[in-house]
Amino acid sequence: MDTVTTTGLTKSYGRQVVVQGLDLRVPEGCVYGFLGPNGSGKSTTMKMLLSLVRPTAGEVLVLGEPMNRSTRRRQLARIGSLIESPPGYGHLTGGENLRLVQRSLGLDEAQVDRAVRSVRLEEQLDKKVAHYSLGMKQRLGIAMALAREPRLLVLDEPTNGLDPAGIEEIRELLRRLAGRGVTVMVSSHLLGEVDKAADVFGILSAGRLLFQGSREQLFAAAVPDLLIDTSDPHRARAVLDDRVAARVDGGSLRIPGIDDQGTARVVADLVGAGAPVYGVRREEQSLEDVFMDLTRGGRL
Amino acid sequence: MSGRRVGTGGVVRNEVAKLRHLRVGLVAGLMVLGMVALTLLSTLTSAVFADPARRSWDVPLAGLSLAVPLVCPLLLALVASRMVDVEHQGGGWLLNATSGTTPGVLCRAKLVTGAGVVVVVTAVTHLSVWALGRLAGIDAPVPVGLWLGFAAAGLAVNLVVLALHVVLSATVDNQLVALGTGLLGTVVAVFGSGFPAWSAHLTPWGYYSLVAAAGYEGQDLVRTSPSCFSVLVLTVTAAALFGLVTSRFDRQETR
Amino acid sequence: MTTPFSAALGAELTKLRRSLSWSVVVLLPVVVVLAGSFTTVVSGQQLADGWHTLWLRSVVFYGLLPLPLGLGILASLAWRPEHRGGSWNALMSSPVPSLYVVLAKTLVVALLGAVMQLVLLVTVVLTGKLLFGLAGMLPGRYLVITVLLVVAVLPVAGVQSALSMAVRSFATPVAVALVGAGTAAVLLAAELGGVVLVLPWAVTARATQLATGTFGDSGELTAGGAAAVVVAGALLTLLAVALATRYLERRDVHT
Repeated sequence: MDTVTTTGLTKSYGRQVVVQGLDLRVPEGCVYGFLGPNGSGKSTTMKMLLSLVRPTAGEVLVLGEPMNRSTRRRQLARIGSLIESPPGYGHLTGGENLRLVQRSLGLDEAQVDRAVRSVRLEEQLDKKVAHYSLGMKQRLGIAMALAREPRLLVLDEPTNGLDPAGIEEIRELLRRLAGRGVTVMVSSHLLGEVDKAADVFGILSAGRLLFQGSREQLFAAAVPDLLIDTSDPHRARAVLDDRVAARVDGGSLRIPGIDDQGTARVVADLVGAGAPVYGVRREEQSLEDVFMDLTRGGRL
Repeated sequence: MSGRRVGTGGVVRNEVAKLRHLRVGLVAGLMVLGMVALTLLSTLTSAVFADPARRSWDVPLAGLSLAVPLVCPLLLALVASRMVDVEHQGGGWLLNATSGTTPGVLCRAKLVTGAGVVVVVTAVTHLSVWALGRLAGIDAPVPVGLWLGFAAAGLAVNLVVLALHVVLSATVDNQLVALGTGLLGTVVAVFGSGFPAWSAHLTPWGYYSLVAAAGYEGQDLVRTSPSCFSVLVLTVTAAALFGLVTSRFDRQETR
Repeated sequence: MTTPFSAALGAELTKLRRSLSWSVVVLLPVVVVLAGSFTTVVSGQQLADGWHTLWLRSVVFYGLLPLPLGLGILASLAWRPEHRGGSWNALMSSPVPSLYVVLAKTLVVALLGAVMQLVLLVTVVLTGKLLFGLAGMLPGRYLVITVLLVVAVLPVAGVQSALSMAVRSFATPVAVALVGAGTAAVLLAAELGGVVLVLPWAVTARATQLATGTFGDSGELTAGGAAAVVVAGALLTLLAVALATRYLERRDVHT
């Protein structure tokens, strides 16, 4: 079962369309990496999932039930979230802030303690939040979201402004939560920050979903360039000439966006024309390249 | 971009630009409207005014002398607080300091800008009261000297209160303190007319009662002359203190 | 996981820690009573009618301006933490119903208002005994009026809380309170009768005028006068809470 499902989710302010026709599927118990450049509509989408913002069109199903203004308060008891800047009243201590959450949600001491331990904030509870570092504020915000032991956790850029160690810590926490069966949806504008933690990706650009699926599907969706190693790349290019967009790259011939049948044809042509081919390979591609490729071009 | 420090004129121009969207114009309009309306109301309901033969400028002057302390302290607190608060919120102190405008200079520029607003408010208010008085049929000759003294002394007290609030808002990043002080100032200003003269000198708000041009003693309307000397001493003292405090701001570490 | 309303209220009280709200609650009534008493002492007059005169001088002006403005400041103070950082998102992403959020804030402001009335009562009694050496005790009807005042604080608490919820600015709702209180004062002075009570600020001011003989009051505490304050206060409070809840339910969270 999918924990979050949206159909045709759209938000526009006046004529400006911020999010357009999103069909999200967030499988249960996964870490869903919600990626896209700044301003692509990630926060707005997450706010619509929480019914903080009302969609202009489309529907949201969370844990199998519709999420809207009449159901949200009931639904929110099962959803932990951290949207935009981390919450927390600056004039109160971390402990006092957590007690506010505990009291208003009717939680017991143990639930709060567990949340605090899982973000490793035990030592800083007596400090005023105004004196917290950004990383501590983020962790407090996550603890507040976790205390209610949610089935779905929605985190908007939780690694923003953290140092590498802090980012690693959050990644590890997300994996642990998913291991316990919590569905985690986490957004970032940097693929590298959620790359290793996420199993499913959704990539947003200018309000549209460019891609949604597993890591393998993501690699498959963006076909890596074909590299043909030949002793005379210039001649090889002349042979293929108009039929494929090939260019000389060092000692090889680079052909972007070509499928397996195309590859076979090209190799046959080269061999037929007497061009010496001693290697045919796909370029190694990092997820980062794929991501940049997708969001820059806005294709797929 | 030149590396030169921004001149004082530039800083003030920046302050004027920041006034946009702060609705300071609205607050200024509220000050004028409040003072004129209260003056009009007290004039029209005055027993003295009801008798056409005794209609004199003393009636609206007494009304205005009460309206100023009722309206100004809180709204001046509001003006100063809105002007200064933007720096607390947007990290403005630091931003300005890195471009060569120290907090003290910034506060002085804010006072100059705010003072411009207060001067306009004062002029419009007094001219409106005069025009409405004429329309209401006060034909007696205008006591020009008294009125000008009242207007100038009242303006001076307002500027001192404004300066105090600029410093207060810059020091304490909590608008409760600014507005609470403005509210307590209102109480002191309103009751000030009942205080003995010595105690009216103790707080800036007490001076509102010292600048009154007319007032009621029981049922009798009496003309009073503004204590220009006291106000002068207050203004000079306040200017010196403001200079001192703002130059201390400059020497402090940036917040 | 159902949330008891008491939990929401308790959370609100926690948020007021270190907020300096006590300064308004304590200082405002004390300063008003002392300023009124000071002018009486200075004038060399005695309290013509003992406790009654002391009450009248302490409370009538207080109800016209300081009390509604004080409530406006307290409402802004109560909402201030929510307008900072990511608190709005967190507040609206919790399962606590919007009605509870609105009601808890209103009641906390009203509670502070109620404490203010108690401080006022105690200050009047102490001034009467210690400063003026009045015989006996403050007559019982002023205790009844204090209870009525606690109720009459509710509509202003409701409206100001709604304003401070909708407007991020600390000062703007206080400016609205000034306009509201000023309008209420003018309308009450015009002695239009019960219709004035459609203005929340007029309900609070009216409650302070009960049994004082000012602003067209009969000078006696009548069941009709008391009932008018209670009924108008209850209706306006319900309306304010209902509208604020509706607003909170419908609008998008802005940051």
